[in-house]
Amino acid sequence: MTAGDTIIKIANVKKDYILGKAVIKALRGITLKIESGEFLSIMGPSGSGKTTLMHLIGCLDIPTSGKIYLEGEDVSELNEETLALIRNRKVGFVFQQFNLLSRISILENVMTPLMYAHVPVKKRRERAEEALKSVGLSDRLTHRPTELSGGQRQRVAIARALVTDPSIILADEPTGNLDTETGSSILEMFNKINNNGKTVIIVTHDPEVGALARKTVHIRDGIITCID
Amino acid sequence: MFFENIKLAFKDFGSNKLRTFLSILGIVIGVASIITITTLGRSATVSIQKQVSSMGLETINIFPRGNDSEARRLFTPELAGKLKNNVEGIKDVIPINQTPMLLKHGRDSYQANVMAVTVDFTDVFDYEVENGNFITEDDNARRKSVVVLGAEAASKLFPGGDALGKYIRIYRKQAKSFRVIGVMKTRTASMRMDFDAAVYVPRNTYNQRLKRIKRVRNYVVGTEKGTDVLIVSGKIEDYLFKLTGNADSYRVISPATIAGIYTGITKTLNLFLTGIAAISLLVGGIGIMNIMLVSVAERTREIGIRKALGATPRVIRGQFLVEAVVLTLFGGLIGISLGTGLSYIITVLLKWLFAPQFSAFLLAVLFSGGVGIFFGFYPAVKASGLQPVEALTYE
Repeated sequence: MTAGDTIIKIANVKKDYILGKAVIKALRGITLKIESGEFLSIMGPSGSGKTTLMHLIGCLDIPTSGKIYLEGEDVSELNEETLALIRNRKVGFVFQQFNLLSRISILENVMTPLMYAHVPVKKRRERAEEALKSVGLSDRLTHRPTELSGGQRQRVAIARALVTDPSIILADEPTGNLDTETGSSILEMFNKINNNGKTVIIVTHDPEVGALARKTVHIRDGIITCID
Repeated sequence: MFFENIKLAFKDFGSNKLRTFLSILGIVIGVASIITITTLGRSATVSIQKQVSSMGLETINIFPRGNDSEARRLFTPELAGKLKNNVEGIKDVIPINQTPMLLKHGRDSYQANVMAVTVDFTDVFDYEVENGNFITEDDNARRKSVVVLGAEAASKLFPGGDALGKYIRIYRKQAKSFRVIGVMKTRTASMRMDFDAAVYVPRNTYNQRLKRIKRVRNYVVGTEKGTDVLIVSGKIEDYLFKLTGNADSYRVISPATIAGIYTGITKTLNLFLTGIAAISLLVGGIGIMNIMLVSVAERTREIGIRKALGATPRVIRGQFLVEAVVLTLFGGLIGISLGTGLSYIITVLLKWLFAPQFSAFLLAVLFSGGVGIFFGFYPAVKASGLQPVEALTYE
């Protein structure tokens, strides 16, 4: 897939959640095309549906109606077994709360997605070490996540997202738990990742983060209000 | 991935030592009791067998049954030769006749069984002489008035010892004098024969001087070395049936069959107790299921993260199943060591032979692993069925 091709196509996607007896319409009909190599931010206040949209793009969930295509493949009606394989191969996640596994070392954390991809142990270790080196953490391989600062943890998460060499990187408020300076260095990393040809999508409500992206999708009450 | 899961399981247990210990306690106790019961059961069986074999495992006894005149007629002195010639595996056939009589030496008297014997007697019963000699062919042929004393008879009639060469009187209608030519070593009683409390006289002498032998009271068969006593026993029964056509007129019995009966009883008892102990394994399994469910709930977020990274439901299920099995196997191994140790101590205290059963160890390992799979399955399925989005946002 070369730059400029449509990597993600979202067609009239709706998502309802049932909470008790109430039906919450999180997404009310989203249509969006994202090109390969884009640096996109999805902005909106909390409750706007931006995280739901990210979950659907990242195959963590399926839409109530509408279609989603990842690299031309319809992922809107797949079962959990297949979705897991697509997440593993095509998507790298970075979360606000880092979501590292606390009981294993950061090296083992970064090796985990490769384990699910059935990469042999030796190869896993090599690739994980390389990914951690690229985020400047080669000297911390055996540390537990709890022994690291917030910024370092987020760098581990980025290394973990990159280690499988996915075409799409999805980040949900990646700087939300970090101070401004650390946040900027993390954003700079995303910029670099994008320059290396990966499609980067950042979900945020922080206008500063949005400003860095080359394209911003504004969402409110489950519909796209504008794209700039 | 399998080895990673095992590693992960151990990591998890290490961080929750007390909880891990408590959760496997049920399995530990269950396996330990099963191992103890089976080991003790086997040790008991082996000990009984050893005791019975000291009574002479190579011998077979043939008794008449009931007052059937036909049965009595079968027990002639000639039957010994017939048996020996017609049944394979027989070394000796000894006719036994004994009568309680009063014995006297000086002022000491003693009521004892007087047994009519031949020279083979000591050989068949593994019976040894302490002093002097046993009855010889010559004694029997010449109908000598000689007697050999059992250990207890000797000590009662000769409290001061030194019985050899002395004369005792045996009362049968009138007193008859017999010279003591030997004293026997002590020997465990078996099969209606109290060796120590008996005295032994040559068969022909008995017939002529003490009591006329019309019918043989019972036969004792000594089997050839290396033959299966139970098989020879069966062949004797077949032969006797051919002679009489009536299986109710005689009884063929041997220490080996008695050992078999004892073994049968311990086996049944053992099976019953093992069944009860297996229930505790079941209870232990429920404990494992409980702790695994807690573990799944506690680690919902971890499951969500793993799913986001590409773990399929199958992989998650495998992870929790491996964890449950590792847990129960660990409990099983502790239970085996505990049970073995406990039964060793008990056998030492009871002075039994310690006979651990290795197949029971294997079975315990398989069974505890099975408990892990069975009771770990539901929690594992529950973990694998979690929705990734919900699991990720779980607080």
